[in-house]
Amino acid sequence: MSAYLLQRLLLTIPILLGIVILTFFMVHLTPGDAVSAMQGQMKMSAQQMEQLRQALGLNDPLHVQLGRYLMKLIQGDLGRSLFGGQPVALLIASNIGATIQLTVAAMVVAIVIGMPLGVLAAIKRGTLCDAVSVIVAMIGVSIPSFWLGLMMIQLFAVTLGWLPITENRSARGLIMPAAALGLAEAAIIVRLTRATMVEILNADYVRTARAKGLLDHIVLWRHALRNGLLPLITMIGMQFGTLLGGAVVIENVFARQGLGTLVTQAVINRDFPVVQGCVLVAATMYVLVNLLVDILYVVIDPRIRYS
Amino acid sequence: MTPHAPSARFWSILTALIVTCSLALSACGASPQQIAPAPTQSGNIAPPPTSVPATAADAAPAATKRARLIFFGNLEPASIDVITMSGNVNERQVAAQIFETLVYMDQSQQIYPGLARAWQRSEDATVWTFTIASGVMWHDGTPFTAQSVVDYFEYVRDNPVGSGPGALKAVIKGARVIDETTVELTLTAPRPDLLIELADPGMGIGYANYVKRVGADAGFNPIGTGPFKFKEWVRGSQIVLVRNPDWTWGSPMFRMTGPPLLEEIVFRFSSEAQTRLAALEAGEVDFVDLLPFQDVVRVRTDPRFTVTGVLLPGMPQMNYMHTGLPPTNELNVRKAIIYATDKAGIIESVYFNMVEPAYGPLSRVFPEYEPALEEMYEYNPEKAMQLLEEAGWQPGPDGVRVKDGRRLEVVIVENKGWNDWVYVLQANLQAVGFDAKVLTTQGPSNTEAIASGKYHVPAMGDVFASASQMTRDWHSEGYGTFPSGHFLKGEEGDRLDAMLKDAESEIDPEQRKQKYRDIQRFIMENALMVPIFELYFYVAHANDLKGFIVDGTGFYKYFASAYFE
Repeated sequence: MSAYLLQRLLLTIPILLGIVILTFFMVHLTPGDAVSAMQGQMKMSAQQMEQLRQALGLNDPLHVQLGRYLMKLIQGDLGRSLFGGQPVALLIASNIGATIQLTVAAMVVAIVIGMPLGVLAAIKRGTLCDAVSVIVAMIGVSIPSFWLGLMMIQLFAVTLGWLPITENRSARGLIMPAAALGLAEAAIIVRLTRATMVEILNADYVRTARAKGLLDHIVLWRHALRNGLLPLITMIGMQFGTLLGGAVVIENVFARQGLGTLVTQAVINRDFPVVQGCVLVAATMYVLVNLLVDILYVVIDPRIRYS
Repeated sequence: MTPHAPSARFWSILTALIVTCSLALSACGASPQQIAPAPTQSGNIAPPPTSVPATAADAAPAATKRARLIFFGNLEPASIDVITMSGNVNERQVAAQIFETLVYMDQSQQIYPGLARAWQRSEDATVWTFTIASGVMWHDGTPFTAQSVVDYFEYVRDNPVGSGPGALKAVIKGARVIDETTVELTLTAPRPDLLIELADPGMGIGYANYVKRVGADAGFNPIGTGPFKFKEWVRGSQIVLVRNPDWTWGSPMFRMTGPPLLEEIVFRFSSEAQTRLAALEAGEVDFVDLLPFQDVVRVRTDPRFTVTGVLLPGMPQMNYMHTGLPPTNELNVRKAIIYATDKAGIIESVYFNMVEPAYGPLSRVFPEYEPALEEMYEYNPEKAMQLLEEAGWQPGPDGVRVKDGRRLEVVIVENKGWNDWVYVLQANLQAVGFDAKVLTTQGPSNTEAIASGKYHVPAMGDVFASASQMTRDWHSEGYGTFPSGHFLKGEEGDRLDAMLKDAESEIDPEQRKQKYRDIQRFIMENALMVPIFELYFYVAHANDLKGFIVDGTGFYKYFASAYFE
């Protein structure tokens, strides 16, 4: 197991390097640079713009800029923002907590709503309860999270005054963003849980358990659901990336601190070091979550062994 | 502020959903409203006073009902030190509370003393002498002196980064201390409008020695001399400023002699306009910027809020016309584009009658504005077609006009989020036989697309407080959002360059007015642009918020004298 983990961790290095290089070229292939973005307000002459490009190192050939960035990265330096000059590591450190908080809260919302509904739909399949859960799941998948967020703001903040919009450092401030982000994921979990459970509830070992006279809830929770968790955990791990992407939008809608707000502005400004740093951190988180999912397999299903 | 009383009634929930879902529809159905009167420019800078004491009659009240103001802007700053900032408008909005300028200009275009209590200029406006206020302290307790001003100008001159106008930085020759309270600033070229430029919040006097010492970190822990001190910046969340209790040297513009009444200002940011508005309506914030046009009518009817529309001085929203690219290198084609543009339709359908039509390259708030332009072009698609036919552009088989085998193609460049009118313009041009395409860009890609010089009709607009700043949008050397030299080729470009330079250094107010009017006529006679509308900037705030002052560009607010009634 430990050899496997070491191997997986080592494999993340070329993956992250590939992501760094890809992001570098994607950012640099888009038209405009940071100086063009600053030009909007600074009203520089062509000469002043060139002077600034020179000072920021933007006139160097791409491979030189990439090499310089990689050398710093190896030393643990993510560089400085081209806008304001703050260290990227500091910017990320001050934002990542809020994004993880939102993503985890959204995941909790998705699991807490999605799994029971999916199980219920599977047990009561063919009934009105099943139909309602399928319809709810369809609606949940179809509604864009930013629209849902705006609707929730109108209802819960403006009309009812129950929840805050901008006080994003409190637990109450987390409710609406987490719900807006998590509901679409809940819909996906409902559908997958239902499909998995329907299949498992028809399996021979479940029939055998029932024939032994086990109580329904023991059959359901100990025998059926535990086996149904494997595909669900795989999917939840994969959805972590989707939630990180969704956080970009939701953080903007709710004026929340986080990597989403940071990276959105950085992309618009062509603030390459910040974009690069955020992508690198998000990719690392994604890779680590997937590794965690693989470890959880062993915990849930003792038959699985990594060598 | 307290939120609305909670209600669990089903119908309130249903109503909220319906109201929300129909926001856009309700806006579309809004009836035309009388736009708030635009501020007018006095036409003359107030003569430099030796001192302007605050009067007791003008003074702000002794107390404020609430001590904390929450401002909700659109974009979070990258840096809030005037020297290191990147140019985002909210950077200046925050910095305007922390730093002070040598002079101030309010919405009536009146110039007031700031850190400079008096000033003199040489006859040719290249040497300026400022008398600096005494007793001023930086927020860290260090005395602010004449040397501080010299250090600032030298730093700004030698460093390209910072949001001060590039054109001004380029003409700073040097600065020197004459005596303890006097500074002399020497320019390489006449700058009759220097005071207007110095009143820009981006030209707040920064603490050069501190910036030299801590570098970019100054942007996240700024030290100024202004009415509010920096307290904390939670990235992505909020910036908090607190009252500077020692601030007793405020500009006479604030009509008060003591420190600010507000204890704290909190700046929060969201690029989502509906979120900003919802936060105001929920009572969470006191002031929101950039109110969406479609919501102005609705919010105005809410008795809890005051909505203010300010006509932003500068270059109205418009489309340049590239005189170096076919087919817009033909005068008739350019004129046809102007005649084909339905400004009234744009203003009604896209801006809900919340803006007013523009007729030339300069806002009507300026004394240099040329009113004769209002009669020069009207919406007349028949005339547009006639001009195109005279120029040899005949209807082709698919309705697009052709000449010598070439189709009448133009590309309109849109900066996403700012130029929503371009789609109506596109339809207008297609209606008279153009094959009009829209290229959508955003931020830096917009600057790049325009600067490439490959497109015919890029959309643009600019905000500035002095007619002399037309140079930055029209002179081939640039200093604008992009160098307009990319667009004006040949005789038109050379002639315009000479006219702009001549007018810019004109000292005599009447001569200057005439020269700028000639420039505007030249631009419109040669159909170098399609004027669309005068830009209004709508803000909404809690009714009980009083006493804040809007700057000369209409964009920035000073909260030193603000209070809650």
